[in-house]
Amino acid sequence: MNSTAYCDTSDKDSHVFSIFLRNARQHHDLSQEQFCLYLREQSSLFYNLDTITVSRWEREINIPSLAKQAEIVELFGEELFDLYGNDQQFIAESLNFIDYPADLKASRSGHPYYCDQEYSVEQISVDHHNYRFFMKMILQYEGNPCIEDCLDNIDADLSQPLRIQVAYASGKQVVGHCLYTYTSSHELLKLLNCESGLQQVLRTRSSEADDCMLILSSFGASTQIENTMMSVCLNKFAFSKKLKYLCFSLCNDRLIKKLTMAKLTLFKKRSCPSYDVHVTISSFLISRSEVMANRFLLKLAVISSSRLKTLLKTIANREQSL
Amino acid sequence: MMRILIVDDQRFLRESIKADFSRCLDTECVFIEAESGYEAISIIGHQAGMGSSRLDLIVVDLKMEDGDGLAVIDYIATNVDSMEIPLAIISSSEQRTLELIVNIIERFKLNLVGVYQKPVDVALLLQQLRALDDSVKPDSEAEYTADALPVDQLVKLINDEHLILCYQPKIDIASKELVGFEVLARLCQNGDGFIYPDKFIPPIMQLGLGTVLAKLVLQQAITHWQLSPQLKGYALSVNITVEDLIDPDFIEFVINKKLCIPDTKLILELTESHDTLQQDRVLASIAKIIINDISISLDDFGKSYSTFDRLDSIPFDEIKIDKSFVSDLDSNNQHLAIVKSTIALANTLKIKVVAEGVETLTVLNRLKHLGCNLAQGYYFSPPIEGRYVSSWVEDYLAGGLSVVSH
Repeated sequence: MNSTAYCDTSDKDSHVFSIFLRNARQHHDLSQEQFCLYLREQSSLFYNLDTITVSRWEREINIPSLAKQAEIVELFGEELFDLYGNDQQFIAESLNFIDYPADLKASRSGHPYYCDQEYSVEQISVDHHNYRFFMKMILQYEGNPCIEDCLDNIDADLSQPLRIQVAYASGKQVVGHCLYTYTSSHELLKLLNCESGLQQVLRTRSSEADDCMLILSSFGASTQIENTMMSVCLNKFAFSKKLKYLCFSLCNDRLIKKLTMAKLTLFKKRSCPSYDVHVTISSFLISRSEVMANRFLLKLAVISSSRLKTLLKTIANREQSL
Repeated sequence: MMRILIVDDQRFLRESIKADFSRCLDTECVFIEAESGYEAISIIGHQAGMGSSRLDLIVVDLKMEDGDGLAVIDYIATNVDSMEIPLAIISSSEQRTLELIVNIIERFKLNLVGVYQKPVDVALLLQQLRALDDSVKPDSEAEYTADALPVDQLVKLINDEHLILCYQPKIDIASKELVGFEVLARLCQNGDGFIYPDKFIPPIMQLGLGTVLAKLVLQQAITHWQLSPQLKGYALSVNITVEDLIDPDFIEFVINKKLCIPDTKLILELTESHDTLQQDRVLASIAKIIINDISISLDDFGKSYSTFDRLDSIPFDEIKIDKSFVSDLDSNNQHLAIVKSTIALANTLKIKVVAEGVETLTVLNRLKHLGCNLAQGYYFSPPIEGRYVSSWVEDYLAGGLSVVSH
């Protein structure tokens, strides 16, 4: 999986970042020298940039890291999510990443009754007749006592409800889920420091904007579904520009391990004293720029729900024809 | 049955090790041999997924003509499947190099049996291998060492191309006024996200590249301040170590850089270390720095023994209390006691005190009552990427004050 559209430039003649650079420069009617000077004036990251480097970027001999790409793209009023989300090649690569996991060993389903059948993803709103059932199911999986607290107050008037997405295989068999909500950074930090419960976070109508997405659980019976569920959340994050931080607060080892493997750094690991059961909650707090600079998250973030539907349809057709 | 991988480019060495193993072991041995680091990596990669037939021991010669023994170590460290396999290192390098290798391996949390000089004492090796098996390993805190960084890769990241700086605001607790920013370095490679200082600083220090990094950070941060005149009133804090202070080039560099931002307070945050060597040179450097209008701050206060000693001899401008004591002081009485006494000490010595790691209003209020001057932490803001600093300042000045004080 190393040859990807954002770093390997050996046999591609249309790297999305290079095209962006060439267009941006021509659109603003700048020579390579002027463009180089502009970057040097705008950002300390490029204080020693020279025209040779700019030329190499444009000719795809070299491509800067995603973090530097993000800086340049934002100078011209766009985000990496937009750039890569509109690039056919990167989209294809990302869809392929969901469809065919790199690690074949891990692609085996961990579910006893499910094996690579077609599935669909559905949002379960608070007024769904099975909302409580799904909450219990997710609690059963995640084992996070914070979620249990919320079960008793499902009907309460919440500023931000817990949102559920569920993956169904044939016969309405549940094969994946994710549980998430939105909150402000101050409320989030109180939760991560075990200073307040999840319920309080959901109830608080904060004076600040909700600029954080909090993912409390995400699971798929196979790696493919796992990635699909993550992609559903991450795409929502990517295309809501007011969201500045992505946070995972998790008890189940499986996703913690997966995030660690994707080179994300643990923010906190705490066992909350207020619960009888001894549970360790691990959290990851990731800035918007970091989401863009991480190929794993970026790939999952650029898949829109319509693209995902098309992919799931393709998978279903492929299986039927087998 | 024991499966042993022997990595050495000299055949006679492999044969002699094999013979020694066969003689010393009463169980049957299967030997797998590799002539180069490259060959070894492909063997380890292939074996890792095979469950029952996995390797029981890897013996690697560090000095090989074809391929590098270090590359094998890097490979083992980056693969969850192979990092558990006991590893024995053969080397004819001098003692100091060996110590460095051992340190690197320990940092990677590999299952090291030992480092052996040639000719290899296989009996000793086996004895230490058994000792390794006997010591029951605690469930290693669920740390998946996918985050261990191969040293040769790390070295390639210490340059402008891969360095990204973030800035974390420092706030006056009483007035809520923004006083300055601490510069925090991140390394960024292709699409691997950000690598944080706790991962790369220790190996970089060991490789002796600390000062190279410190210069790069200063260069980039000061350029940022030069490019953003609206920030000039805010102090800029950069982390340095004792090693940097011993380097006369570095001192010259800092003094020159300060001249580029004459209206900004530049603070060097001296990280605690056990190294008290060359105290005279360090003190001379500090004097030179202070004379040139640069302040010195004592970072990570409380994490080291030599702290009080330093406090006595160096005219620090401020003390920074490490975040590990601050972030949970509302629930950890010991940490509260440490923070309390540090603030009291600083107040007595008339040195400013900064609490790092402030994440909630509860902690902030406690600090206020304890008489702490300045605070830094996620409560005010996580470290901010350079391009967002100016807009953060605007937001904070416009409305942030009211948010913070509610």
